[in-house]
Amino acid sequence: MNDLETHEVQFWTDSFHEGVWAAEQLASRWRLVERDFLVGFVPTYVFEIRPDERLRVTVYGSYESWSPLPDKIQDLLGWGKPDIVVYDVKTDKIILALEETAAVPTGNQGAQRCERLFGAARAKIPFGFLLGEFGQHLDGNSRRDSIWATLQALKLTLIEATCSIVAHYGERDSPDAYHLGTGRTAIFRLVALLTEQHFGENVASEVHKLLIVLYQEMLDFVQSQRAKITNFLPGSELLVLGGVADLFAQRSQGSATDPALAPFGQWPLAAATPSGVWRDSANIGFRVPDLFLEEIHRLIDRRRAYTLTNRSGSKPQPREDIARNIERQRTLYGSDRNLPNAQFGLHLGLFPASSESLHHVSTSLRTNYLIDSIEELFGAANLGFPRRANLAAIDRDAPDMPAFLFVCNSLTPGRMFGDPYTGQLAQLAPIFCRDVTGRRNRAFVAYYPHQSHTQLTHAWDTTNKGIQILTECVDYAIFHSGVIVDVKNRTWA
Amino acid sequence: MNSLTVGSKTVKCTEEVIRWRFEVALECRTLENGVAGTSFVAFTNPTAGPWKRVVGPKLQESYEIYRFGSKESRPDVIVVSDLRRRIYVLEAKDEAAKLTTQVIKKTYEIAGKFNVVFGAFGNHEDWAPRKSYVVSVGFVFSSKSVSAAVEQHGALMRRVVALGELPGDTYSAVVIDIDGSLEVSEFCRDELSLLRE
Repeated sequence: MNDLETHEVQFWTDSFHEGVWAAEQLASRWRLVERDFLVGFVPTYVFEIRPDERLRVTVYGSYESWSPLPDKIQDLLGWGKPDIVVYDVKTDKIILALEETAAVPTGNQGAQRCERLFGAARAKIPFGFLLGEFGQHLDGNSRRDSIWATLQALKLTLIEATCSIVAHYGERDSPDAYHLGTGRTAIFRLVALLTEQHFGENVASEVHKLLIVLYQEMLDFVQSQRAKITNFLPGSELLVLGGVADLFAQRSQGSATDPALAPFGQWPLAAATPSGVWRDSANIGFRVPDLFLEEIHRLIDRRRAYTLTNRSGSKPQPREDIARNIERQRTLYGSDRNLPNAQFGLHLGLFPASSESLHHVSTSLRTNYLIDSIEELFGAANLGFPRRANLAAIDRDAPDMPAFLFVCNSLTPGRMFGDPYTGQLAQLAPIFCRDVTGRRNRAFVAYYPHQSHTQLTHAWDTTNKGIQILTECVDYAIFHSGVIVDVKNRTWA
Repeated sequence: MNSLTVGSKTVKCTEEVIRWRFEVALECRTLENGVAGTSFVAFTNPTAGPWKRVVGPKLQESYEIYRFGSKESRPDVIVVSDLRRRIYVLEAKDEAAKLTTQVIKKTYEIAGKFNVVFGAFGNHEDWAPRKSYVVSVGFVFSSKSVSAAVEQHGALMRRVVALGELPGDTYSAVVIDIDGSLEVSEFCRDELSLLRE
């Protein structure tokens, strides 16, 4: 007699270890009936999910080793490789994707994985990001995770009406202990419940209750940590209101966004910001003069722009590396025959020495600006790049469209398409340039003062995660010497 | 690079697959013998995850022996064999030809460092009997057939000798496609035998 129904899912994973680790977490909800290896090494698990229902999990470790990959997984990987993708081959549906990291959640480590949240949300795929709440930094001190990944997930939940979760593990004294904190247990409970729901089990109420818990923890985390990260977060009053986590949970399951959430992450014009924001936006100077950013600061002086970030750090680079990269940028710049190469202005003297052999590359001390209109931003560019007088008008947006400006100080060719910048673009775009309904309410302008534009303008059709993210998230890119690229229209001036 | 069919899919025998297959063979042997700690993987070097630490036996409560720095050279696998009273510091490649003189040299350097690390680790009473284990260099690679494996092993050992190292102290295991299933064998005095036997 065999009345057992057996469902099947595939765990596609970056490495076999991650897949096996994930599969074994499920034993906390379901009884493990059988464990085996296909052809000697492909792990399979059979779980009893109900007395008459079983689930077979097959772990396909190492994406690049397998062919063909299911199209849906291939598409998702184009936006960055999640560590684990739970896939039902019979219905060709991704049930959920997961990212977990043991990396210290400070500096760039957290941000450089955030394009994966973005890619999944865009495809309406539920996503869980499990990361350490604390980390020991190189200086030996303990740091707590920044709020930006959590904010990105909250905003993506509202924009895409899909479940986007950041959950933490660890404690201050044991930062890399996955078993401490609530994150690991909650994330794998979500994996189990969404899988059961996918196979027709009546667990909607359990899913909803768990999502409320997860969203409440995210809101609590942002509330407890935001003052250390930013002096201003619009809609922050919602973080402490009862019932808000429920609204996020409802939206993550496809309900319409509740109007009460409208102020969340709705960045106002400069005049409407609290006075402290304007005061803290004051010009703190540049490691290298940058006429364009100085013009942006004149807008701040006139209360037409503001900034949120504190002074950014600098990781000085060896002089020889800088000299070599300048020459590589010169070659790239010169490959655009429509521009006189004489306008290429990078030279070693621009990058101040930090010691005998090292120089600063991070010339701007601030990296994020919110400007009241794209017209004023391009006006600042006209003044800031005087040799590029009469910049062609870019009129895809109405002149009064507010803008967000992200400054990327990298000098290394190609780096703008790599970590952590790709993740930062995917993180910043939903946070600053979309309202809670997904409507675009700010233009995203990326500024690369040390990069040559040809890396983008000669590479539109290159299959590359960095280019894909940049063209999706950024509206306009300003490169060295003031070359402005309309990313959406693939034109430049 | 070898490849084989699994259901409707083809899998290439990449370094990740080879390394993982070797680890599965070790774990199966441990489980089949039914003796906790016959051998265990103390470190493995996949692309990510909470596996960047060298740890004591996972069948007991694991404990940290060593933590790699972010830019420090790492082996692919470290195996502790209580049966043989040896610790193997292993480099895995999909093809034996990739185990170049430079790779072999680097593996010996890492093993030399761990000879000191393992001998000096005294923070856990469980580790005490293992402090005297011999640390050996080892290599894992894949091969299309038994005869090719024997030939590749011979060439590998010649490169080891050319570096002034003793082949008798060097371990190597090979992953071979036998009728569509990956089997792992190991060399003992140049004789090949199944790792699980």
